[in-house]
Amino acid sequence: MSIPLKPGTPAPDFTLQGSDGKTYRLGDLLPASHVFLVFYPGNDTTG
Amino acid sequence: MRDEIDQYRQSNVRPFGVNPAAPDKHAGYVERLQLPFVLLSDPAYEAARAYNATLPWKLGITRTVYLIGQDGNVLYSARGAPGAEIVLEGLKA
Repeated sequence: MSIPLKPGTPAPDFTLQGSDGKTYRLGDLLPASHVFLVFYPGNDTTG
Repeated sequence: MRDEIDQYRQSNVRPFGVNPAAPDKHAGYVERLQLPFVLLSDPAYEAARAYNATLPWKLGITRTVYLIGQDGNVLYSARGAPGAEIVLEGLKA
């Protein structure tokens, strides 16, 4: 099983649609703030 | 994460949930639970694959968190659901 990317690794860019209707690209969020991503299995799950 | 949102905001950290569900499904979930953060839709698992957050035996997500610094590098990563105090330690590195 793969392991999470290690600290010091460049974070892969992404462009994803948000629940608020906006489009979010990692490169646009930086460097104004740090970013915290939580990948989770599904809504209404305990994961 | 909902209960720890203030800790993230005070540290200039923008939190996002990422999941394959469609944006309209996420919008309903955010409204129903009054989540104070945005959920991002990753229907093709592109981000999940890039961040090694997919299951190895079927198409799915294994809970994985990442703190990304303002310089674009990973500061902290982990499987599971570590609390904000643990995650934010990554800012001190």
